[in-house]
Formats: sequence, structure tokens, C-alpha cells
Amino acid sequence: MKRWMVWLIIGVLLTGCDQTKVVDDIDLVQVAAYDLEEDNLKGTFAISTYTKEGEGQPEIYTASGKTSKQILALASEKSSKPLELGQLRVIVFDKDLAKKGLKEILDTMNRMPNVGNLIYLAISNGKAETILRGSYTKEKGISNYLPSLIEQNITYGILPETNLYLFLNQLYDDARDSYLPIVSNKGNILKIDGIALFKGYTMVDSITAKDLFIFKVLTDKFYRGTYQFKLPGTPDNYAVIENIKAKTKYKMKGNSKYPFIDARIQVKGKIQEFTERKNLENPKEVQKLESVMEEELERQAAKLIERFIAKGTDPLGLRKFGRVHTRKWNDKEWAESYKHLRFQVTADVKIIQSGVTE
Amino acid sequence: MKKVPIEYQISPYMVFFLVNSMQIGVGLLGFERISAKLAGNDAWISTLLSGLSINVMIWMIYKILNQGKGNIVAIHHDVFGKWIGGAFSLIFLFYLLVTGATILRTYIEVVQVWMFSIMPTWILVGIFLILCYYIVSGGFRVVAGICFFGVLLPSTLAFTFFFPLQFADFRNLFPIMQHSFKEIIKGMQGNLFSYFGFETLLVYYTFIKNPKKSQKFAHYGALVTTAVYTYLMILSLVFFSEKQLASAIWAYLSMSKIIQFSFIERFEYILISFWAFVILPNVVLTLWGVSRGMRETFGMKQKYILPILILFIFILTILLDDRNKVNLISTWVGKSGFIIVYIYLPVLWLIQSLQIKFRRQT
Repeated sequence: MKRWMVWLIIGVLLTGCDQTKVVDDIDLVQVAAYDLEEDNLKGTFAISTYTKEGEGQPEIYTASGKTSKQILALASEKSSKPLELGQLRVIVFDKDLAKKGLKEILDTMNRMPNVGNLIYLAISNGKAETILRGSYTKEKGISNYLPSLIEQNITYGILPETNLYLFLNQLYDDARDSYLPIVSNKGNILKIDGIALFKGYTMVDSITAKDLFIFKVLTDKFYRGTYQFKLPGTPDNYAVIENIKAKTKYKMKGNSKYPFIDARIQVKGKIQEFTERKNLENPKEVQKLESVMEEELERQAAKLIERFIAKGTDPLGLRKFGRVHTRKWNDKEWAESYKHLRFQVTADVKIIQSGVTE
Repeated sequence: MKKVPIEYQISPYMVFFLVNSMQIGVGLLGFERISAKLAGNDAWISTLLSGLSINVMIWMIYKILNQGKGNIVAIHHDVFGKWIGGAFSLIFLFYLLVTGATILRTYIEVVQVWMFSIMPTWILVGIFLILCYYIVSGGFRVVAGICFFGVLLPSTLAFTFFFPLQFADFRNLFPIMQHSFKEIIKGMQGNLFSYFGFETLLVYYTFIKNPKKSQKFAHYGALVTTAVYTYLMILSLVFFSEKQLASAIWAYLSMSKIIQFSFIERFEYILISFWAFVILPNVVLTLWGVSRGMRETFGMKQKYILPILILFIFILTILLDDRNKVNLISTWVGKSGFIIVYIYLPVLWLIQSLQIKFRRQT
């Protein structure tokens, strides 16, 4: 029995034979960016350097090539330590590349087990490289700033929920299309510019930040975010509502050949700001305000949906509603009927609070 | 047939752990993909049906064993005589052995793909098999103990089954039953292999105290497996979109990629390492079963048979050096298992029952 123990110990010790990856001996890429460069792909990788004082400015490596994996290998030839993707937080693609399609890179990321599922994807308005190269305040290097910017705006703001897993999920789902946030930088500030709409792996349209609230109402069920309404009457008359709970219920009537979408938006909110004083103790005034907001929401939402239809993309997953709720669903008929889909949007706004002042 | 001394036997309730630990193995990590390819969003019905049919087969195995005089080797000897019966026993034992090797190789493939890509197969297999030798040479009660822990320890990971729910889209399940009955039956092919392993019961039956009492525990074990598999199938269907699931080789691991804690960001690495506890009973019990069966067929001592079997598994796993070969042998094992459990065992039952009737009359 004793001899066996020796063999067991030797056996256990031998397992140390695999290549180790000690944190100090590798460079962890935290933000990666890909640009289209004529017919080449250009990759930029930001690595945080850790100094005694804490986090310093990120180091940046770039390389051009044909495939994303080759680019990483080429960039690794320039760095002092091997580049690893295990801690990747965000991948930024430039607009031109997104318009050409992201299939190759995303399939590679999906294939690699060491890339996490919850990383963010973003589209840059200009070159993706400039976003990484921008100089941001010291404690907020790009590798910290960009991921928290997106995360913060998803949880507290009006950015619809996205990440690599959700994007791929919607992409592989033949009943809906996906979307990604657009970011840009100005000086030392990053900003969310809107949402890029995809059809399969290719970007087909974009929505500006102004419409993000409506877009999120249509796609997600969410609890925060503000929206500014223009009130009728004098030209500079606005009201700001803070959302407490918003969602859209869809119903598909008819069949795949003659479909009719009935979308009901429900927003519960509290009044935050008025440019003109109104007496909110009066239920009639509140009702009036609500109906103004309802009209505005209906108009904007209808405009967005018309736009999706015109571009042939289905970010709301309407096909899925049809497939689930309609008997004898036919995907081919739907592909044809979606081009001139009839729909109706009705909004229901409820103002349940107006702050602490009358 | 000599009776197994009582100090080597196990209590009837242990059969629950033996059946359950043999069924839940490497299959759980990725059985969802093939079912989803064949039966789409109705794959969970296939999974449920497979589990229920397995229970029917367990009932039949107990019918065979209860009216026979011993385990499968003794029954073969009784029904078909020394030579033909012996040959059938050998075929069955060979199938068990290859199953064990396949399970081990598949697990090591997971380790290689997800964690240590340049780790040679033989190192992992070698260490694993040394441990197996140590356990199996301890006798059946030790093996049963390992099976007990092989259920208990991994069950602490059950919480990972609930994390993916935050991204669940239950609309994926609808419309229910849009696939034809034939497609759903076909979908069962995708997950039946993950349910196999319970047929080792045919070998260790004589080691159970009051074997007739153990039947309900065997059913409980298989029902728990059915519940776990069906739940996981539904979970994968709502977590992935259909085509995404069809391309995920290890769906369960891909799902657990979204589990994040502040102290460990990538939980799937813990999961894969922990899975060795799930694989160990599978390999150990097949090794014990095959060596015991061989002992009864040839009259050799288990001590001498075991090293030969271990060497066989060692060589076989090294020969399977790429994804295609692993896939090929998994399919082969799955098909053989299907033939043995669903075609051969009913036939055996029929012949055995007729023979008993005939003998009674004469």
C-alpha cells in the first residue's frame, strides 16, 4: 500500500506539466477594437498596466491582418508578454466593419472557451481605434471607463440590455434581429450615440440617442430612465417624466399572411420637471398631460416600427410573437407580409407621483 | 452459483445512488445539442419520454434478475449454456468496458478544450486510472461508497441550474408539439446514451441485500435523473435560441459561463474540475462490473483481470486522439447500448420466461 501512495503522489505532482498562465506573466486584454482597413482587418488591444500607485494608463497594441486570431498573434509579437483574452470586457467594432458584417470575429469569440459570455459589444461612430487611444482621466482608463459606461446606462439609463450572449442568441434565433450600442468620444469623454440595428451579422440602420427611450420601451421591461415631452402651446414648453416601470405588450392578430400587430405601451412614471407651472392637484390637468404624452409616445413608436419594417429588420422579435400565438404559422408568408405589416400602437401613460412639491 | 457473503453486500437503498451516479455523467454536459437538432423546441418531450422508457427497462431488468439465479453471467449460462452464454456475457462486458473508456475520454476532451489545451491525454488518463485501480481493488462496497459521494458532492452544484433563468425566454418552447411524433421519437436518440449506465445493475445485482426490495430505489434513481435531464433540456431551450443550441457542443458549460461572482468570474472552470467526482463513479463501477463478470465467466481472480482492463482503457483512450474519433465511438456505444437494452434484453426475458415455464412442466 505504501508504494501505491508514492505513485499517487508522483502522479499528482506530474499534473503540473501543463503550461501555466501566471497573471504577472501575461498581458490581459480588457478592451479590443476592430477596424476595417481597405481589405484588411485592423485590431487594437488595450492592456491595463498595474503600477505601485494603482492602475496607470493602458498600453495599446495594434496589428493588421485577415483574421481576428492572426491579428491577436501579430499584436502579441509586439508585446513583452503574451496577450490573453480571458479578461476581455468590451469589443468595439467600427461602423464600416459592422456594415460589412461581423460573422468571422463573433464566431471566433464564440468558439473560444476563455472569452466570457457577458462581455459587451459596441459600435464606434468613427474609427474604433481612436476610442481606445483617447486619453481619459487617469483613474478611468479606457478599460474601466467603457465597460462601466455601458453597464451603467443599461441598469440605470435608457440603453437596452445587450451583451455577447444576448447578441448571439438573437442572431442565431431566426425569429428576431439584434442591436448594439453606438459609442463615440469627444476629448476625454465617451458618449453613447444611439443603437445600431442589425440584420443577421450586418448593421443596416442606426437610431439616435433621442429615440433610445422609446426603443427600450419597445424591447425591454425596465424601471429607470427619463424622457422629455414637448407640450403643446408656447414653443419652449417641456415636461420631463422619470420612468418607474415601462414595457410593451404585443399581440398578433390574423395569421402569417395577413398579420396585424397590436402593441400596447405601458409607462408608469413621475413628473420631474416642468418648464411651465401646472397645477397637478387637479386630476383633469394630470389626465391632459397623460394624453399628450401618450400621443407623443404612440407617434414616435410608430415611426420607429415603420423604420424597422422599411429596413427589413425585426429587433422587436415580432415574428416570435406570431409564431408563439398564431396557429398554422408560415415563416415564408411572414417574410413577405412583414414588408407591409399593419400595426397599431396604443400608449397608456400613468403619472403616479409628482415629487414633493405641488 | 456461490452466494455473495453478506459482509460484501450493500443495503437496498444504495441502489438509488448506484443507478443515479451511473446515469448522470459526462452526458449531462452536452446531451442537449443532438436532441435539439432532431426535435427542435420539443426536445424536452423526447428527454422525458426517454427517461420514462428507461424506467420500463429497469422494471424488465428486475423481472429478468428476480426469476434468474444470479447476475447476467449466471443467467446467460443458465439460458444459453456454457459456450453461447459465455459469448453473450463477453459481448455485454466488452460493451460496458468501451462505455467506461468513452466516458473517460469524453471528460478528458472537455478538460482539454476548456482548460488545459496542451495537456496530453495519457497523463490525465493515467492518474485517473491509478485512482480507479486503488478504488476497485478495495471491493464492491468501496465502489458503492464512491457512487454515493458521486451523487452527494455534485448535488451541491445544483444551484448552477438556476442562474441561466435570468436570461430565459420561455416563448422558445412554444408552440408545443409542432414536431411530429416521429421527430420526437428520433430526438430520443440524442439523449438515450446519457441515460445509459444503469444496466450495470445486471452485474452487481447479487451484491444487494434483499435485491427484490431494491427495485423501487432503482426507479427513484432513474426518476431523479429524468427530472434533472428534462429540466436541463427545458433550461437550454429557453436560454439558447434553437440554432445557437444546435451549435453548442457543451451546452451546460456554455450556460454556466454566465455565472459570475465577485471572487470568481468564470465559474465553469470550477464546474469542470468538480465534474471529476461525477466521472469517477462511472469509470469505477464499469471497471468493477467488467472485472467481476470476467471472473465469473473465466474463473480468474479479479486481481489479475483488473490491470488488463485498465491497460485496455488506457490504450483505447490514447488511440482516440481527435474529436471525430471520440464522436464516432460515442455514436457506436450509444447504438450498441440501444440494441442491448431495448432489443436484446426483452428477447432474453422472453426466452428465459419460456424456458422456466417449459422446465416446470417437465
